[in-house]
Amino acid sequence: MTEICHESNASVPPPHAVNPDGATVALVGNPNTGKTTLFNKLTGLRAKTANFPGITVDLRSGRVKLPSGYVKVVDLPGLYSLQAVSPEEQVTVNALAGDLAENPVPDVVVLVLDATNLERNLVLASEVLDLRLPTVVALNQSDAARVADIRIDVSQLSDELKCQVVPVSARTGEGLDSLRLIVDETLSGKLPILAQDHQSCTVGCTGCTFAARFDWAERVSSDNIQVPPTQGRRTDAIDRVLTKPVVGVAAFMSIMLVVFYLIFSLANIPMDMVDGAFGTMGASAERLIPKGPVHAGLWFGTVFCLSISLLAAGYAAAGISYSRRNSVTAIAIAIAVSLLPVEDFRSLLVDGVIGGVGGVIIFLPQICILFFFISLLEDSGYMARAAFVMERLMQFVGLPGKAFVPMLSAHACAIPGIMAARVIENWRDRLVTILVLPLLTCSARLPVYTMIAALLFSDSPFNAAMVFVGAYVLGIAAALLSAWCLKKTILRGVPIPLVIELPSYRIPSVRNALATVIDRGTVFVRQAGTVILMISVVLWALATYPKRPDSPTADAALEQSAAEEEEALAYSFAGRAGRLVEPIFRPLGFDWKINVGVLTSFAAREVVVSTFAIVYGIGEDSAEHEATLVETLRRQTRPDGSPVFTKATGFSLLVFFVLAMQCLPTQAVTKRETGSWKWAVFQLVYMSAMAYVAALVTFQSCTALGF
Amino acid sequence: MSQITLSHAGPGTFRCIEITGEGEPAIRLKRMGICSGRHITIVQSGDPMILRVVGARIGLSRELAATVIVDSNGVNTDHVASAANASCNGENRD
Repeated sequence: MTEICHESNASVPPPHAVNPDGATVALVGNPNTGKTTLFNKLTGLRAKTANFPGITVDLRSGRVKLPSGYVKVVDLPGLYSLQAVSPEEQVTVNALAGDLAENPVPDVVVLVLDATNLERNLVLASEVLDLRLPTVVALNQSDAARVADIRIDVSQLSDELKCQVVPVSARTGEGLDSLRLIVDETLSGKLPILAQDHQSCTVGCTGCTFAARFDWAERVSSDNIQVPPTQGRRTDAIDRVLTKPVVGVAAFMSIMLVVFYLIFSLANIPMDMVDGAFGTMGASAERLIPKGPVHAGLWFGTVFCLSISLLAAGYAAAGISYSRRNSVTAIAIAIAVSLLPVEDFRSLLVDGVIGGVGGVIIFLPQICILFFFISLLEDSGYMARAAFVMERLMQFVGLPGKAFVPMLSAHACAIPGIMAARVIENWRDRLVTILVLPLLTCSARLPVYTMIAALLFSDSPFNAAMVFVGAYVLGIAAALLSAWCLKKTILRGVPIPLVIELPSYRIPSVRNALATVIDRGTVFVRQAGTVILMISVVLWALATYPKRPDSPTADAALEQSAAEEEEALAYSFAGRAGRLVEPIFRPLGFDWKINVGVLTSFAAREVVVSTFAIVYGIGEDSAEHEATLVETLRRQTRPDGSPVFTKATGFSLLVFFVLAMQCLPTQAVTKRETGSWKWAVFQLVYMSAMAYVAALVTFQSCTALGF
Repeated sequence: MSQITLSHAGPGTFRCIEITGEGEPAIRLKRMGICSGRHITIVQSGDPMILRVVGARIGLSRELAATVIVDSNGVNTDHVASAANASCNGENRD
């Protein structure tokens, strides 16, 4: 094979010396090589996720102490070849070329190769070595290779690759000290830069460059490695069961059923704790704010400082820089908040800020638990099998098998589902999946379904249960149908048939799972601290202002009666908007009070329940008593005396809430993952339109049938 | 030497001759080792099928398998074990 490869004797780059302090070290490797485990082990759990403008890929980086200083280690997305086919792979290619915003060409590349699968890994290695960057090879999983009796001649391999090769085990930490030392020496120029004239196949090769690289990889591995023939038997045995068409799907469903059971049962305790914590916070805020008259100057000063520090925290969380405009905005908001009457400030803090953010943060435990299990399943090698067995079924709607796990996750909450859609390599397929995910029934819809089911069939538990089943089925059908339509229309593209590596099974790492949980949890909390906070405050303002001119004074308002709450909401912008859009929503069977519920639940669907409690005059605190609320709703009549909540209205409301994009936090995440507000707006428009039409058809046909 | 597509091949090990597709799908195949000169073992037929190529298991849809041209004369199995396990003991298979 020498005739198709050549010795590239290009000039050796001059020995370089970089001050290790502040240098950049990039980790590069195939997927499933344990690269992320190595990164987590090197950085501890202190890694930061950086998000670059214009790209939707998160890069994790962390500081690592080397003998002569700290370096920044970047975990580049795994890839099989520098010929990138996904946005993540493109980021790795760009990062190596120094084309990534703010990131220079890495000072040292640590090429992570899997010792148990070396021949395959050598193909990417040959491409990376051709870049002629200072490179160190970390031969990962060398402990597993030893157990499997795979013998690798490390010094000979090092000669062959013309770079330092360090056997390591990211799992046990074995060899990491030597890796740190060699990276340090490479950076400070102590090690001679070896002429990287490995037999490369870049120029002058005839035919396919991959064929030449695989030939080279085969020769190098056959010269340096001995693999026993029993290699991979255990994985083969497990796969004989888990990849069978019917048994495989059944096994996958059972695994996911267990995961979901665990999510819903384990999440209850922390969710109650979050609920309790925010309740206590609200109550103590209410107590702390003085009830009597206050010294204006003192009050202004205190509130101003409080608001400014909150905004600064928000800016820090969102990574907003302090430009002149941003600073002026922050000061203006703080002044406006400080000038609010004490009563309004109390309501803003308790209902708007604490209540609004608390209503969203309550989903954090579910999101964390979901990501914990997804990460474990991915690390074990099972997720590739799940994608494999689901491929045929998902092809019916034109999506890859990998889209199935995000779709399942969306049944807990659309936000982790959208974040999990990153596993889908093809951008079009990923976008379609993200766009349809919010149609699947998430847990925030459950309080709404419960209310409607009680309203429709409080006398028949069976029918009430069927309401739930119907809502789930409608959501799934709508998501699959929308995906199919999107693939046929605006996101038309050649379907991407499956090619997927089914890695060897291994024991998943809890440490990696925790790193993922921290990573994704932080993203969610940041969103809650910024975008969601802003939305909550805006919605609070809409439901509070303008105030009725004859509104009770500060002292009296403390014990606002249910009737006064109702009148105040009716008088507010939200109430007026509800009346304004009444003609539009009348064909759906909604009166203006239902419209107010629809409008105020834009931030989070479950808010509709408490809004109904206020707008139908039983007071917000009564929202907890389902029976009282349902009884009150039943009594509501239209101007002509007919009841508002007929079966037709109930079904119409149900259909509307199954299909409508009533979740601005999800929109914020869609924007984040797709890189532009364009797709978030599209999602809002198409889902709202679909919800409107479907609710219209439901109400009109139910009415025609005499319900 | 007779040629068939991988989608028509039965169980066994075959030498890959060429990939007829172009563009992204072809790159996705080749970077996984489904590329001229490699030995491909069919581990499980069906759609998608499971192959063993260059020491790893690869799941592949039938649609793409139809773009992979292999030598219809399978490779003898002794050879297979070593080729599939990336342990070709320096033997020359050309």
